[in-house]
Amino acid sequence: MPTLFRSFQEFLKKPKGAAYLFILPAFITLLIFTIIPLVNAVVISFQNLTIFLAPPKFVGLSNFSRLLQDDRFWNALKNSFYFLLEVPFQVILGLLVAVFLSKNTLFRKFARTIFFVPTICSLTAIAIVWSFLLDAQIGIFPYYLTQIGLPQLQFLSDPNMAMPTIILTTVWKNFGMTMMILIAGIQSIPNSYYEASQMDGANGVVQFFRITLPLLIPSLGFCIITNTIGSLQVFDQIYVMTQGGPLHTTETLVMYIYNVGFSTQPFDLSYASAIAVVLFLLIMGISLMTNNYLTRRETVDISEG
Amino acid sequence: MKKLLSVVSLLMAAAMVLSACAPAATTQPPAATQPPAATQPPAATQPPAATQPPAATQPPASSGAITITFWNSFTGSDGDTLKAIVNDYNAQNTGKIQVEMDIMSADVFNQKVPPSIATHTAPNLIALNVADTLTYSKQGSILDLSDFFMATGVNKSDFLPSSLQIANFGGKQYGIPMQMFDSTNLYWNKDLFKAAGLDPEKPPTTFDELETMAVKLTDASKGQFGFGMFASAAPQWYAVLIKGNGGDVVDMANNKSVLNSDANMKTFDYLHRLAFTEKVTPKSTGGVAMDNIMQSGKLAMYFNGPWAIPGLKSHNINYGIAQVPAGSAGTFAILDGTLFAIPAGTDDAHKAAVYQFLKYWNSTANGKRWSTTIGFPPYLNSVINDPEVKANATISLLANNAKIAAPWMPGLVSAGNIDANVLFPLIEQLQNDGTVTDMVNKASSQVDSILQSNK
Repeated sequence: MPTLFRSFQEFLKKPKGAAYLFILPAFITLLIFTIIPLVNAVVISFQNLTIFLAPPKFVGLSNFSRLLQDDRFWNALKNSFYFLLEVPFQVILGLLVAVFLSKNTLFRKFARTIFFVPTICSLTAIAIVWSFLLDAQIGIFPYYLTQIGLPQLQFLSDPNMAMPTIILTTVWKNFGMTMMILIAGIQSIPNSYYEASQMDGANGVVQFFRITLPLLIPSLGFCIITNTIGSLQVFDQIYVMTQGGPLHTTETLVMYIYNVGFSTQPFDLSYASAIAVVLFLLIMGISLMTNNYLTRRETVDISEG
Repeated sequence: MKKLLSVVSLLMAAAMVLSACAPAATTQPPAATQPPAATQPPAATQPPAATQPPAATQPPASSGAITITFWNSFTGSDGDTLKAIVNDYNAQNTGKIQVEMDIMSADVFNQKVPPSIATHTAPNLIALNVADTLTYSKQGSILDLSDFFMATGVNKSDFLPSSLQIANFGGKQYGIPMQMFDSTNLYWNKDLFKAAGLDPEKPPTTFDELETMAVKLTDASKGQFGFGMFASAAPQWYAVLIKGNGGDVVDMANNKSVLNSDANMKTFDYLHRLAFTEKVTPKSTGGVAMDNIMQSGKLAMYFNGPWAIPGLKSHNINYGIAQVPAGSAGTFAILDGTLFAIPAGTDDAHKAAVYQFLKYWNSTANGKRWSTTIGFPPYLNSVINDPEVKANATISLLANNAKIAAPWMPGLVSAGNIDANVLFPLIEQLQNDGTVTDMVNKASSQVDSILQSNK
């Protein structure tokens, strides 16, 4: 016993040992709230559990074969990828705004604050406000559009318009965060690069594409990956604004998981877990691919020591 | 010194770890519990299952007093009346029986109750609709209440037979009535009728009349619609048309879908024409949104339940109530209700206390109070024959209309599944472009696969 304690002490003296001790609390939280539920979800997806929590039976891969034949699942998958369009829109918009707001003048700082405000607002509150603004009967946007001659647009009840509307709302909410991260990235680029390129006769556009953009790859990569992972899991806006309608055109994977497991009879938790497992594998695959691609580009283009 | 330091750091790390573990109860808010009714003490909310020992029984508040916990989803204005009744009951029964009520929205209710029953943290009393009573009884989640009348001495013949039949499954009584209603009456806006040149006192009595009037009442330039066709979060109004034309959804004897029968095809053609070609309804509109449109005077007619009345009154709509129009096979309206049910695992003492509360609820005095305040037709004969109730025009009208009401898809466990996942989506599809036969055939095969998977 004393020798065990002694060797443990020796272990803690080394930096590596102490480091493990410091991450232990975070790891335990991760274990309880992420890893254990994840493993549970995988286990449940192989059973036939409903919300009545009757003792479940092992049913093998039947939930997975069911979702392969389920039209609504493929529709949800398609809608999730459709929603991914939010990421390039948001990143490009954030990038353009960041380039214009990167200097530290008073006006630019004020503008940055304004653009950042939607990010800190509650997503549910924003969704509620936007669904009122866009309501076909009582919203002011459709009203003003009819005043200038456009037909009565049903932003959230028209099957073709609902998803683009939600995408634009999400872009509006998120681009502030992207903008801030990219501004930090731009401000870390040494001014000497720009001066040197100016002496060589480069104008603003060339500077942007040859200096700013390549050196922003780490920040851009971070924004793209985090936003992609977030977008694939979108739920709040859709739940508040359209609940997956109209005609399931805004039903993404997480919305479908909620509908199947918690919203309608027969509250099939196993089937919902199977969809969640598929979503997990999808996000993991996309994150690994994106990460790989962007880290390779990083090491090739950066010449900093 | 170094040894002391390492011991201290070890203790601090342990403290951090414990502080991360402990709030598994508080960092997980108990599934978005709605704050309990303003007058109820916070003890009404059930503690999360993770940290509390399974307690189907509540310890008595004082010597001899039994506290029964009651969960329901009466979040609307009728919830205020319910709270008043419960408070009065508690005042009359201090020291004997106390009712602690917890009101939450319907989706939270559906997500909390089944797991709570499975983990022995369920309340002693819940209010369920008919379809859920059937599902819960099949899952063994609620108790058989067939001994209610013997145990309490309540007069069974005072109840309308339909009010007891509706929650009687396999010869056992699983629910005691709380309220009964016909969830489909025709509500129409008399002012819009007059403005369109129609007689404001003559609502449509057949489906053909409904169509011609709806077209006259639709005016796209004013944003006005003739007949509202709910796409979700509403009673199953389409049942009026399906059954009225002699069709049905499921052939119970053969456990097969009959959704694509010829009679139904005509009905769905009719609905598609109304919605897509004649544009008499706002598209993809759910319960609350449709109520808003009606209350703002932009909708002329819809089928809805008696809960619509307070909203129409408060928005000064000059409305009329009538029986739904008839089809080629007659008139059909949906008989629905809210039942009291007792979750499995409730001990005998609490069950007896609940029985006393249910006896109070179904007394003539309380039945009259609930009916006249809420405006729902009564199901107790003694209340129906009360002169004040008879004099109430709205209630008499509703009670009369309810005479033809019958349950929709009775005894079918997957009824809720079919309504939510097949029929309402079909209604939504019919409001958009497409071939009716394709849509209906697809829906019919979906009904079949649901029936198969529930074997």
